[in-house]
Amino acid sequence: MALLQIAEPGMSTLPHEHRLAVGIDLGTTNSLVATVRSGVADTLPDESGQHLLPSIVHYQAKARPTVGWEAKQQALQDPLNTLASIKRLMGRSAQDVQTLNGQLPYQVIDIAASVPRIQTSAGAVTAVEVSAEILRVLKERAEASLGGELSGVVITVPAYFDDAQRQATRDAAKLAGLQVYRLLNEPTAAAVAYGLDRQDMASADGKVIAVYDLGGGTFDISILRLHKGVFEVLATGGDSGLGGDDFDHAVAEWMLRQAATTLTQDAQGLRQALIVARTTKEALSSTAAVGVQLGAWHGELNRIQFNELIAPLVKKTLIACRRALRDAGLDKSQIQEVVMVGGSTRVLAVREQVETFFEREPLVDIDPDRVVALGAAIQADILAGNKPDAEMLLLDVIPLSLGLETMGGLVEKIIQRNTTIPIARAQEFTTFKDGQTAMSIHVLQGERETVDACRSLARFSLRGIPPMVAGAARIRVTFQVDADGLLSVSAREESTGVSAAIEVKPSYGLSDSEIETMLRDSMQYARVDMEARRLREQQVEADRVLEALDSALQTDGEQLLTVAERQILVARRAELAAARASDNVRAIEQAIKTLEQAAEAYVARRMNVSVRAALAGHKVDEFSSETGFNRPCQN
Amino acid sequence: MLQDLPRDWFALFGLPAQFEIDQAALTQRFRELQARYHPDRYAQGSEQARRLAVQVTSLLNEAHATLRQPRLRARYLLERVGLSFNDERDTTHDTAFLMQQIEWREAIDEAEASAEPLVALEQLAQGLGAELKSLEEVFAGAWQQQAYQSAKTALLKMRFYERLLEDAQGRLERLEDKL
Repeated sequence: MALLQIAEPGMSTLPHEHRLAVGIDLGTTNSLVATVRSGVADTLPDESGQHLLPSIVHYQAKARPTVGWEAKQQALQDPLNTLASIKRLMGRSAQDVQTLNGQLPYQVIDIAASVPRIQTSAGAVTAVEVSAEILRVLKERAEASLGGELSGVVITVPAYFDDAQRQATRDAAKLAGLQVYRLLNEPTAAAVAYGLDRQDMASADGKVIAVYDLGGGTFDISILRLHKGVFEVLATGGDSGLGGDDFDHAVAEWMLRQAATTLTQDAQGLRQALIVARTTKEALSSTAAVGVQLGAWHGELNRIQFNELIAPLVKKTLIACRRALRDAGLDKSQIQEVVMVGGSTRVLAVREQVETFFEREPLVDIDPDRVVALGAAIQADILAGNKPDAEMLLLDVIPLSLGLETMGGLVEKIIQRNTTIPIARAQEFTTFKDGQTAMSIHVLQGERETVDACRSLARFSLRGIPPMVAGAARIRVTFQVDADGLLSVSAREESTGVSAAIEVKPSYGLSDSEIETMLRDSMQYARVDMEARRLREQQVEADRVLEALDSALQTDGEQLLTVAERQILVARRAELAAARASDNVRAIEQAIKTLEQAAEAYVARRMNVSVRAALAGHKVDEFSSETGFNRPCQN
Repeated sequence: MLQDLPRDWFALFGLPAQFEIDQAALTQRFRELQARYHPDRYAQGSEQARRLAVQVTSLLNEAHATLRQPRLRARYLLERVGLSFNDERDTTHDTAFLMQQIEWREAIDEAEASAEPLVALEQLAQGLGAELKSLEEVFAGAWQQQAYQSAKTALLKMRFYERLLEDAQGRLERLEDKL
């Protein structure tokens, strides 16, 4: 009961409460949820003790989709309704998906639409909706395991994710009913989990590390400078479409070539080849050669052959490493530590080549599958306000330059890649016709000079520009990239101060109304869940009220209340405790209300005492069982 | 909190307004300010506080990036003493310098067409970096003598070299992408 818990005057009246916060690694292959308990970050298992949740969703007609291990079992029998590696489609255009189409055994429909959809027996779904299903399962796991509703989450994304991919991730979280504190870059999360900033450092300037993060479908390289809790990303690079999946494809293609096309290359055949390829790849991390069987074909793949198959892919990652070093203005020799993250760094050839490149043995101490979720949990705990003294500070960068379309289909960069975020840049535009009241701005992301070679993010149309002669209007457009790496745009006509209305047409991605519709649709399934949750919430609330009252009565009940008053409160308390034991949401709500009303006078008296005490120089802590306040930052 | 911060970026970081800069002091003060104003510190704050934190740190990042990078720092110094810049009209009429620029461009073309384009372009980029360094020294000297026009000329030349460097690096990256 908030009213019974009193804070010092002038401070927040909210006492410090431990907010439930988790970090989520929404991976291409597997996803995880982690939290900090008693100061230690740990991943949370499901009921059967599994920490990893395969990022696979199986859709079926007229039923809630299944997610994870259960869905994975359907991959072979029902490939078209079993969606895996969906992260590769996040924020991607229909065109991108077409190029991936050979690799993903799904039926993509609506190629012309801004958001590609996949046909399943439960209807057409977008990547955002599929990801939301995965997030929902992790949310339920966390809430069941922590016994309450989550205040907020930190979701990790590949550092190299562009604006559309980040936005899609945020949309998925919204759809899953999660409050996102922050989107955190995966390599940065890994650096946090390793805690390398805390190690003894000879140099006052800190320590420079490289995080090589090769997941199922994405690759990131980040160069960071660490200094006593400050994680400053100097440069980041990568490929948001390169990962262990591509190793599988290389092996699958090799097998299909060897098997001399006796196999049909339908969805099921491809799925099967991919599954065999994956097992083969994993086996080669511990043995030198593996027997392979695909349909009637038998063969063998040894490590040398495998390394050759994936060599061009590994080489690509090393080129990105070189570029990131160049962007950071550093030489390989200045890297003091290399950290390996992501399941695909288990591949021996990857480890060897990274070691050769950086001329340094990489760190692999923390489970490469879990390290990102652990780092996210640490940041979530801090953002939730559970660690008010934390010094940790993450200074990240924007991975790809932001630019505007100019004359002749060229792109003018306004924010260069590897600029520390948040960042705002303003650009002035003018009208070129008399009385022009609208203008259009095309925002792109990428490093190339032409519009075609960059990714179109959005078209903004500015309306309501005051009519003036050509060239007289000065429209200042501000591009703001926030700490999540997400772009927003605002515009103002400088001479009149009129702010222009901006209409955003995302090139890829869902509009707000589409998300609203999806939210409503998902509610149909969620109604039953909602009722169960409402009950759980009220029970938690009842427990809090009971505890607060008990602790208050113990502290000053004797001094501040008459015997009769105390008896009334004790009776109301018993009623609430009885209601709490039932499954009746309404009864619990009512009992809480009645008790709170009965305690009103008591609350007021406690408040007076605490104010007097504070004025007399006493600490409120002496009167309240609560210590530690959630003090809002005041500057 | 926005209004509490000094408008002058040297003052913001507690540094003297000059071209030579104490990078360690800049970094340290930057970290202190970030630690105080970063949006992560306001995750539980009001919507307004969070928005303000984004604005303040955007400004900090902009100021830090400007002072850290020699050419941007040089330009900021000149703007502070009232010199204005016009990106379209500001150019150099130094013919010898322009000839040199053409030669550099040709060298970049040749490097790209050579047998080892990656190595050649990388070497060229290093050469361009050295040219930039020596122009920084020219700027520093002119600035010290308050010869602002000469300082501005040096600065404009730096921009030429930066464009060459961007060109060389862009080509390098496109070649790498094709590997």
